Amino acid sequence: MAMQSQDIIRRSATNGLTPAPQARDHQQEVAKLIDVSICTGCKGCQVACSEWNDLRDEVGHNVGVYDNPADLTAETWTVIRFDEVEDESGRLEWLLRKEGCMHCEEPGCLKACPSPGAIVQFANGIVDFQSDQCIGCGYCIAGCPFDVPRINKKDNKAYKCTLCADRVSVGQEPACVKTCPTGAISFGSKADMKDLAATRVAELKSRGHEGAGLYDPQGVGGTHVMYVLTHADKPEMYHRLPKDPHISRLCAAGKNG
Amino acid sequence: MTLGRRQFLKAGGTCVAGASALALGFAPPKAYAGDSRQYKLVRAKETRNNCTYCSVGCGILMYSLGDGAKNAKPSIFHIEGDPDHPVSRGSLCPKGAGLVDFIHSAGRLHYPEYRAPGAKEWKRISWEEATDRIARLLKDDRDKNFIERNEKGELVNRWLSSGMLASSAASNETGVLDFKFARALGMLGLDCQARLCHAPTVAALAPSFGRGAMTNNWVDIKNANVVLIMGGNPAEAHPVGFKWVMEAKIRNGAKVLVVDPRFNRSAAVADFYTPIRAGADAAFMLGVVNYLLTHDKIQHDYVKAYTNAALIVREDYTFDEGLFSGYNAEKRTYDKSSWTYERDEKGFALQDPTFQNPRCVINLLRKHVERYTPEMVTQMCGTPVKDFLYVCETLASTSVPDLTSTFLFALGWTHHTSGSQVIRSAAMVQLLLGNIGMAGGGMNALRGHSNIQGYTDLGLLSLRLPGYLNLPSDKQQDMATYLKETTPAADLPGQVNYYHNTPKFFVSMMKTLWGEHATSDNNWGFNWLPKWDRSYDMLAYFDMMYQGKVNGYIAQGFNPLAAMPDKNKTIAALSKLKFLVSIDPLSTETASFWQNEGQFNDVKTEDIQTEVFRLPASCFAEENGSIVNSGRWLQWHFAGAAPPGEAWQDSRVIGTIFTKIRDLYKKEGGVCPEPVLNMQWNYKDAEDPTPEEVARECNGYALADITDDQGKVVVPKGHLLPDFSVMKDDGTTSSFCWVFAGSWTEAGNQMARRDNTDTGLGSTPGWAWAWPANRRILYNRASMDRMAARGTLNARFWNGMANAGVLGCAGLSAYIPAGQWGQPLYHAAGRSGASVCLWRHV
Repeated sequence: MAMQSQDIIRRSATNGLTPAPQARDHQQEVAKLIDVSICTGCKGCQVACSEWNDLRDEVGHNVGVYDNPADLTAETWTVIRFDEVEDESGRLEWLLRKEGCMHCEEPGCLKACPSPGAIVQFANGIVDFQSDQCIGCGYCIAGCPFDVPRINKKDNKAYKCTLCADRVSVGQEPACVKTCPTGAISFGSKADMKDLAATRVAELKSRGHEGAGLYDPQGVGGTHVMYVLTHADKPEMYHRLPKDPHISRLCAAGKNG
Repeated sequence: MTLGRRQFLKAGGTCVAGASALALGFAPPKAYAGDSRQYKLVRAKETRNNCTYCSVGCGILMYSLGDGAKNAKPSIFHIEGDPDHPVSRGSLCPKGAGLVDFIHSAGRLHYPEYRAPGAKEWKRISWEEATDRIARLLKDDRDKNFIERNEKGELVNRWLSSGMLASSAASNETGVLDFKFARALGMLGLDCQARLCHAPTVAALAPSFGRGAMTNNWVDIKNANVVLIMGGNPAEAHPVGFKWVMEAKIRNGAKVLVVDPRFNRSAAVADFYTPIRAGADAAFMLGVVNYLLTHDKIQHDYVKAYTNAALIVREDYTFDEGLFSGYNAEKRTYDKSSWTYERDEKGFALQDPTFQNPRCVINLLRKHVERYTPEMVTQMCGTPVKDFLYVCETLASTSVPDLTSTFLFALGWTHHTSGSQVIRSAAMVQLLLGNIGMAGGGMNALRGHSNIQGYTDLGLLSLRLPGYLNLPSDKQQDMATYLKETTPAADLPGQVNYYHNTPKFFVSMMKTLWGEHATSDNNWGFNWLPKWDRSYDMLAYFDMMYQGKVNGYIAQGFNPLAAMPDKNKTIAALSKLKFLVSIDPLSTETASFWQNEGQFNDVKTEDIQTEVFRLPASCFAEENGSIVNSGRWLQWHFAGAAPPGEAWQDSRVIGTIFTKIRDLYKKEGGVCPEPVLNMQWNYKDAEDPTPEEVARECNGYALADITDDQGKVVVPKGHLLPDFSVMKDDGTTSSFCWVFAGSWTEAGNQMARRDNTDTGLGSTPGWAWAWPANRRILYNRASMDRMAARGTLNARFWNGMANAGVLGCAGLSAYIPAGQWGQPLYHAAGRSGASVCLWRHV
């Protein structure tokens, strides 16, 4: 299988004297593109994620909005965020955003992690947690500009979306991508996804969404999960998606890269 | 041994070669730790099936333990979408994505149970005991309460004191057995979930177009130029079907309009949303009709060719002060004799293609809707005038031949007291725009249950027979009267009027029901069919139950306590039963209605004297069979595992109970035993019919050599019928459900076909099989250029479909007289009470 230790290009808390293997001509970078203008918030992705990854979170409570579960947890790796806004003419708009790990090119979690090999980055761009190495310190949470990782109370280890590294390793798309009923989630090489995003942005602009654009924040070196936003000029509207995310200096000054 | 999937993952178990031990659960009990996960499906057995949750009918891949080796017991541990499926293309909504948890639900039943009168607990019993007792109870009640003749002395052969709810999530093959079982016994209290969802759709679309089904199909939505979503929220209820709305929007530049009381998920991705007062939809639609007629935004060629717009209505038909002519104030009923056309000496309707005659249907319609001005619509619906006019203008843009609107609706329309009128009004809009029978057009009734379309097609409704035929009433005492009254006559010369073949469909069905016992001498067993005096739909029937007039009831895959409108009344009704039989994969509230659950079900258990049987059934993943999706595709699915514990497939439950009842009649006689004993039940194992033999029986056979006009044999005796065009009314063909004829032919099981080649416009005629005659868009002849040389009228569709072989030569020669084009069928004006109505039929 692909994507074993030989395909790791970065490893947490590992110094430059013992770097990750570098000899291979690695495969292309992958990316997931989430087009919020096509998402209906059906939550098919949430269920497919739980099924594939064998996660069965506790049944939660209705908190009065469509968000369900209300937040990411160690056993819920993706949730749909709902925000309702009114435009100038008083027409309603639902802003739906599938939240989960962004798989940053410069992962803040990995840089912050003090446990050797607990967080790795594969050559295709996937950032994965190796739970057996996790010491439960929570630094990854502090290091993440998107507030994604969660510590599991059952085993005191951090968890998050793996971009279905196991599926991608055998040539399949992640479970959420496959299941998405309306085609709001796409998967492919990062270059192809950027091309697709450009087409989508042009279409949205032609329909009058002047602010449409791609979200691939450069503050973290770009991400392997990108969004097409109808209001790319105001990403904060989508449940506080940071406009210009950065790795905090504290983390970046950490041990390795 | 049956493991839940969680248990399975923990216990690990026999193996899937090549998959890692870790993925299968050989890891330490704390499964949270571990290296990067390895792929978990390598070489697991993959079985194809269809999602059981809704009528989109998505394809699924089920992965089970073992690679198929005899010594491995399959247990399904993962399900995901089938990428080959033309509708779902690998997608599953949250319901479908979680199917594996349904299969291994903690609520699954594993063995038969019995609750004695007044008892507080279930008691485990054997199948033998359960089916013996149920057969005895049913026979005794039938013998005691069977009605051979009514008060007038007419032969009615009906049994009203026991009834059955059939499951719209079960397969067609189970449905065929349900029907034969219930009607053999003379039950009229037979219904299915279709009663509670799209009954008003059937009541509106069948008289509008001929049949009460979604006219187009899911993928075809992508061809639309305008999508109107009203009376439904498909993004939420049919998420994967909604894929094709987004496809229309993105790839076809379609405008998506949502009119709904709530801003909902569909509205969230629409181009335009406007609110409407709940229940005001008929006024809205008639306002659109008024707009189209006032602004002359109708497709003239289409309306003239394919609707009754030009036909002249009788002088004595009137509409005044909200009442149509023929109203009897005392009885509050209509004498409908004036609601028809002026006719010539041959009985054909008079018409004026120039629309000059003020009595033309279209002119009466114009007068009828003139009151629905935009201002009136706004007053009634609360929709802003500007928004209403925007919807009108957008729809009107498709009154040209090359552009189409599609209407998507569901229970937001049907669940109103005026549901049929709303849908009829919308159907008229689509006829005026020329959008019926077109790619990207249609009245798309989005069905609910995974096989609710099939159960409607199979006639599992109180007063229906398979294939949209009607059960005879007690006023139809002989077959000639019945056939005369149910076979429509043509209104115009050269009209297609395919239903003039009703006698062929009926007799072929009777040959399936009664086999060799159906002869021309006994009118093919006509007397053995129960005759009705009124509807015994489930609402009426539960009311009878509430009044203590029902003794026995079978609820198969149906949970009426959760589905009926008044829970307290439903519990009171069930409490008056002598016995209740629940056949279900899951534990349901209905089966346990006698259990006290505190504030949630505060009943006096000891006072409830109902005997209850809870029989465990298989679910979709554990049976072979076909289900019909909303687009009328009969899709065959395969079992991926055996039912849990002692659970049986529904066909075995019904087969065993029926066989035992028959044995009792053979042994001890009883009241009117003929229909019970003469019902054709010639399966290899009478107690456990296989889906394959039932499916072939449903398709039908040639019982003698079938010859053409020249005497040449076209279907040899004993062969499966190739389609319904060869059916005869002389007893030489059999077919349970004429619209399904062609589903399993000598070429094999057409429903299991898996060629997903897109032959144009998203049509995949090689995938599964669609009724009727594998047609993917109903009434599609209307998309043909009526005057071929002119090349208009949506030629793009016709060309595409002709090449695709969807209509094919057989379709043309068999259904359309050479050189003649279809004209509207029958029907008088104003039948549904909505207005002077437009109709069309091909």
